[in-house]
Amino acid sequence: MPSIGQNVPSGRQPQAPAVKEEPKRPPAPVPPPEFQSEKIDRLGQADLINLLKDSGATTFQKAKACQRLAVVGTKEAVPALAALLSDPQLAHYARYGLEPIPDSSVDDALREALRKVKGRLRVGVIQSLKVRKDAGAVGALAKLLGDTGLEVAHAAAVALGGISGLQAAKALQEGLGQTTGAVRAAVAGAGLVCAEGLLAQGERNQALALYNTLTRTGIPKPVRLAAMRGIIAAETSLSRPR
Amino acid sequence: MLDWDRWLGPAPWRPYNSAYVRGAWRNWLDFHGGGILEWGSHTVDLCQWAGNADDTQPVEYEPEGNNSGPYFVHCRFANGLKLEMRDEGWNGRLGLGSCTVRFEGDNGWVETGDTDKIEVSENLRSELRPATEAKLALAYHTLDWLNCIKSRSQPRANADVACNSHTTCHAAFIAFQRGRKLVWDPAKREFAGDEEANRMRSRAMREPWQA
Repeated sequence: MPSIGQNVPSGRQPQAPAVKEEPKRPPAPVPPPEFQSEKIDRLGQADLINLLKDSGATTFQKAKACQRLAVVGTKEAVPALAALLSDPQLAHYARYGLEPIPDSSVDDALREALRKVKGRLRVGVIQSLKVRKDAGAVGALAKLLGDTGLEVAHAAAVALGGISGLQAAKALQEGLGQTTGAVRAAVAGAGLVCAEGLLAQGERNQALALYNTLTRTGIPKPVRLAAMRGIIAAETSLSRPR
Repeated sequence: MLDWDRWLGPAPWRPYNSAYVRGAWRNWLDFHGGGILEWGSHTVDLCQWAGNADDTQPVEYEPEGNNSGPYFVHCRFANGLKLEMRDEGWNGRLGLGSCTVRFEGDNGWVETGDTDKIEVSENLRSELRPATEAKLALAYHTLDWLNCIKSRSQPRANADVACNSHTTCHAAFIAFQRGRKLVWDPAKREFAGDEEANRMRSRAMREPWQA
């Protein structure tokens, strides 16, 4: 029979009813000293940068330095971080450190890496360009829609959608005519995201034009439906110009 | 057979250790947002619902204490409503089960957890009804979801509610890590005057994972 509560005056503790025990978990492993990061977490930027450049530093130390630079790094840290974008073990940690730094040198470094790295590392760089909404990368990303690597082409499409803007919209519309299969589906999906971005930027006509393109025959059905919804929402919005 | 790469997902790569997958992933910042996020994800939405604040987040977060003892985060909404996050152990201070939530108003209080027990202030005792057994909660959520498919309305626990309650938890956890009071702008979704805190709002995902 469910309880309706004990007769307990406000503020007084009742006897605790029997409740389930906290599940027993294994104790957390204690890392050996060479895998403890407390000292690195207290270093200033200059020391962190030196650690990245130190050929005697371990992968762990450099990884933790990258993570700390995500919070305290400035443009001074960009070259040391960027140098790791081609390192298979540390590339993601390098992006971890670079992405939040509010300086255009990060975008320059990522665009430079985009030209040099391949495969999965290139996918990572593309992702960071998208997160930073680097409009300067749109031209390079548009070319990657035709990359022979499916992951890279897919990532490029998604990035163009996320960066949005008139140039990205144009690249995606052209991409619909130049890609096939899974990449074309990614381009179409990215078009929806791009259109939302255009609306947020006040580029209503361009957004509607992109939505219109996405309603055409041959576009995957879910995208067509979403594009139609986008048009209806934009046309019936109270904020629509009248 | 465990796919370690898949288990890590977007988290930074680290070597495999079997302890991680047996529950010891907790308290590693790459995987875990501490108790604030682990349990706040279950409870803060109830608090925000009760405060008619499903569509926003508190504007102030003041941490108290640290990992070596009980800790708290004192949060305040723009309208003055308080949200108090407290580390009071697995079953809460009244032993009502895990994920305990307490609602305090001008005229009394109500507290419950994930058992079928509810405690109230003395003056509210006559208002109590027999509690629905906790194990029916999942059935009610499922029924709500199915009804919303028909009606096209939003379920009680919908994506926006989850987003706002999780944002609250993340903001609280960032304040706890910073060790200082932070002011949050719910419209801009950023902290005022604290660049480090703002940088902690997101992390680069390990490729090819992305949002």
